[in-house]
Amino acid sequence: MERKFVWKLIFVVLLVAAACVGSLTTIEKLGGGAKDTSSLPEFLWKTFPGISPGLDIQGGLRLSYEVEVDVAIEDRRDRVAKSLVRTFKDEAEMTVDFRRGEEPHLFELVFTSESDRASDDVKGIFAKFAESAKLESEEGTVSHMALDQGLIDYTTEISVKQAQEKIDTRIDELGLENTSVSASDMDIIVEIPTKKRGEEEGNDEEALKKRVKRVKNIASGAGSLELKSDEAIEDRGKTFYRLVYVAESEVAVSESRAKILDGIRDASLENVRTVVKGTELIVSVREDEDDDERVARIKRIISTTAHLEFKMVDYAGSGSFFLGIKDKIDPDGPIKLKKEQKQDGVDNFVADYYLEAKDEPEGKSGRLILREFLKTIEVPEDRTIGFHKNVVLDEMGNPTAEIKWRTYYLERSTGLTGDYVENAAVLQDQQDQRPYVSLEFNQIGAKKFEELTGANVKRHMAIQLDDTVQSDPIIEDRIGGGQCRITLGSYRGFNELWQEAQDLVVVLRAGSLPAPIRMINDTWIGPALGRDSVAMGTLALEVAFIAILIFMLVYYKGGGVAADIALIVNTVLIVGIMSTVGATLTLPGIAGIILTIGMAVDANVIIYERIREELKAGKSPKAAVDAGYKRAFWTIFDAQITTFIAGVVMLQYGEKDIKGFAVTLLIGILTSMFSAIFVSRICFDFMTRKRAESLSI
Amino acid sequence: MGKRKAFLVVSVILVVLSLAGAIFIQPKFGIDFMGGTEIQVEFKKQVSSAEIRQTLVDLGHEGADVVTFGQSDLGYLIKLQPVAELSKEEAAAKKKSFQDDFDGVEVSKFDISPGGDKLTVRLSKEQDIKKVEEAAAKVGFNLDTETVVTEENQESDRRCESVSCTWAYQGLHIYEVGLKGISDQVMEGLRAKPFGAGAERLRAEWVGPKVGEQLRDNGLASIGFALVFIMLYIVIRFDFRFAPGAVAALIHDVIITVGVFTLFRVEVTLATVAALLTIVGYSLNDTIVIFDRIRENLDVIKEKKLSQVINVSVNQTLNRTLLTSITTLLVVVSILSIGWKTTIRDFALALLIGVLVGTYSSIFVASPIVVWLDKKFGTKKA
Repeated sequence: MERKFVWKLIFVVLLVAAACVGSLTTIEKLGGGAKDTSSLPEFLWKTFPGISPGLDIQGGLRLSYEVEVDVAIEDRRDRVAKSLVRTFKDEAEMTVDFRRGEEPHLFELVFTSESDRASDDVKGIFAKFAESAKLESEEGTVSHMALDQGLIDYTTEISVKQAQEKIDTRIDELGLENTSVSASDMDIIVEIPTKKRGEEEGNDEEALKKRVKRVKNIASGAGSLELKSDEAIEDRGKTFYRLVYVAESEVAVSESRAKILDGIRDASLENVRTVVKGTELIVSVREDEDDDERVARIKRIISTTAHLEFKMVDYAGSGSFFLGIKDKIDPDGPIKLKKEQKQDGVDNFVADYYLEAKDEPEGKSGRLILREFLKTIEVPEDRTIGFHKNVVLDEMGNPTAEIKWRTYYLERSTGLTGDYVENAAVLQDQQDQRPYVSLEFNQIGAKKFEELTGANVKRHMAIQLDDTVQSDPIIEDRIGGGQCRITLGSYRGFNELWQEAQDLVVVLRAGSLPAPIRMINDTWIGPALGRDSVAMGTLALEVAFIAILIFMLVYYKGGGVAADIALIVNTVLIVGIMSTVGATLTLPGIAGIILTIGMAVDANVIIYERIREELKAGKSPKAAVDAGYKRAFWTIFDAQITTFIAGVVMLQYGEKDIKGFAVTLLIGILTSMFSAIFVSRICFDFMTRKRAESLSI
Repeated sequence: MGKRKAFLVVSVILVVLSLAGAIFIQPKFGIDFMGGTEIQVEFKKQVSSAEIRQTLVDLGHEGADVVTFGQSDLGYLIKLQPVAELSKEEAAAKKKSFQDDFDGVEVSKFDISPGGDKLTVRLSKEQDIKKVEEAAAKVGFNLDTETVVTEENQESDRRCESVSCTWAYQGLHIYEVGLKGISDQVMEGLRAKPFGAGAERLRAEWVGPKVGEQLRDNGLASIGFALVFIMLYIVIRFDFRFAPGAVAALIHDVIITVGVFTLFRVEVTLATVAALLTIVGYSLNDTIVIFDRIRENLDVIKEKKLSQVINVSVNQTLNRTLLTSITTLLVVVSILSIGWKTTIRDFALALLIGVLVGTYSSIFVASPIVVWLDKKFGTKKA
């Protein structure tokens, strides 16, 4: 008995100690500190991410987007219409044309004759498609069709849901903590609890030094590297640090570099660059981006549709197309027709014709100008136009503010899209040190890619994201193995290029959105409301806590001490657990904690009342305690489980404020049962251990 | 037993009154559920809520809720009833006359945001932004010329000029015209008054009635689910004789809490739904402790009638029931008194009422029903 008691005591003490240590990160976080500026050791942050204040407490950014479901519906309509046309051809040997209607869900089928349209075959096929499209009206050779309402609703619902999931994944990839992505109706709301950078001052230098220290720590664990120099460099009004490491051989350098890159990624440190020069490894550490850039980046990553496609460039055909529309181009207008010598196939050199337009300084982008112009022109059925952005360079080869857009005359889809991409990563070219995006296809994608490259040797392939051509590499040979590289434009600085590559990787990993999304609102939610609420919540917590401690002491005397110890342990455990799972603290969450504390003593009350009864029945203190705990256990269990069920239902409710409340309630139920049954029992065992004649309860 | 009956009668009357109130008067739903606009304003000068309310009435917002907010006396939270949105016919008429301004261009989207601060149209061809604005003003929209938006995002071809943005992404021609939304109009009206000079809008939020409806339905459904699961648990753990009593007590608590809300015009918000769910759990907690004792006593005291066993059990656990209620009330009262001026108030109020009613019902509703059911249907003794 004595020995068991000691073990139990050690267990509880260790658990409480762990919870206390785990709470350190939370205390620092809620006090306004952050991981980067903390003096706490790194491993502590890893094990206990700490409780983060939610949007209502800390303030932050709320972005609302509307999913352009019309595009998804149009997409669906086109597919249904095309499959109808195909079915008419296969089953009734009829040639039918399809025309898009004025609204996204409407289309028309044009038959060759009125008798065709009215034939039984057609009626049969319509009946087969009843679940997708319905006949609205008919006249002459034309049938007016509409997409089925059920299908429209389904398409709407699924595209909003998918968009939400994809954005969620992108946010995860970006490593933004505690960001919630929720959907309501056709809107997607992204809430990022964050401080406006401008609000904290003077911390930048300190923060940068901390970042340098972390990078050094990572580097010291990355093999035999020797730090040669470490200097702070002023660059355009900003400071950055340059660390130069030396290794024994070039192989050792590249191995260490890979480890460092992994370490940096794990620690989600941004703005750290590594460059290899012979046996030297140069690491530069810059300040975190300032706010506007950071927010702009988040917005850009969220709103990219990210539909990646691989298409062959038809240089050979570009001539006849663009020369054919030459008359329509206003020679004094912003659009110019240009030509360039390009290779299109083995030993086949052709003239590549394309249109070019500059960005207007205060107006339309060159792409918009080109797109508006092309709207009026019919592009052959099996061709599409892509756009590519170029920064104009001055004589010295430095980028200017001038931006030009050019067209690419592309063959229609090859069937190889971003859906077949399994993984993406930013790598650095060994020769020119430029970052590029390395793609890895899945098995089917790899096979398609091999076939595609094999069939198009010495031709150019456009890698197109949404409608922008990222690059147009020439295919030197058949490429097996399912690897592909996307190089990015050369005109920008290294940092911008790296950032762009990183962003591309984020969206490629998460996959494309089913329809474009459009931002409808972005607001900074001020923390003013939150600060009051936290103060209020903490005060309420303290008052309630002390009131209950005193109440239990007065009412149960010695037993009250045990109950009070259990209550304190309970509170420490709640904070410890929430800190470990990295929970978000919202106002309802605070209420949840306070409420749990009120209900936590319930279990003790049930036990104590029982012990009192047993004592009255004439049992010895030890026997009374034994019986009290034994009999009370199932009562407590049954009683708490009902509240637990209600908590689980709240978790399913979906509204995040309520979820926050439910999580704290559930954690509280578990810890209060543990502390009431296990911890207070230890206290009683201690009080009754020497065959005590009386028990203070 | 006679007293029991009296309590039961009181309960039945309360439930009927609450139900009648909930149906005929209806509880006051917050903007979470009803839709509407909520504006948090900080004034620079002392102002009374009556002055603000008068200004709002002048602006055409009857029945607005104005409460002080935050630690300082200068903060106010203004809740406006949902403004009658354009009816389908009105919107269609506006769309039509808007369409008339554009020849050969199809207007396929014509949406007004719930806060009334933005008109979104989608056209089949590109148009001059100014022309779109003019057309919007012509059909009676109040353009927000104060907030100047400048944005240039070449990645998605989004351009903004003074009050409007166009978004030509992937061939979509979408125009967003900034309108004077409800909160803009209110702020303008307040600032025009002597007391409102320099008043700052800290936050403005609105909820469309459709989203609100969805949330309300989900809330009701979740309370229903919780009840069903808990009932199942009781049937499994206890005896199906007990389940109706427990659930009756639960429904009793939830209905009376809603009834008190209706009576005192306390707002029903998302937080109150959470509170109701907690009450569901809490009230059962009490009931189950008593049931547990009844079950135990049934095994010990074999010769007595069920009603007597229940009597003994209720008395044995009475101390505990009251003590737990006291500790929980200690907490709820401290939240309530300290957080009176914050959003947490309604939540704490719901809990306060729920705890009181829950304690009462576990003693005077749940157990008597078990007895009554036993008398009516079960002749056997346990």
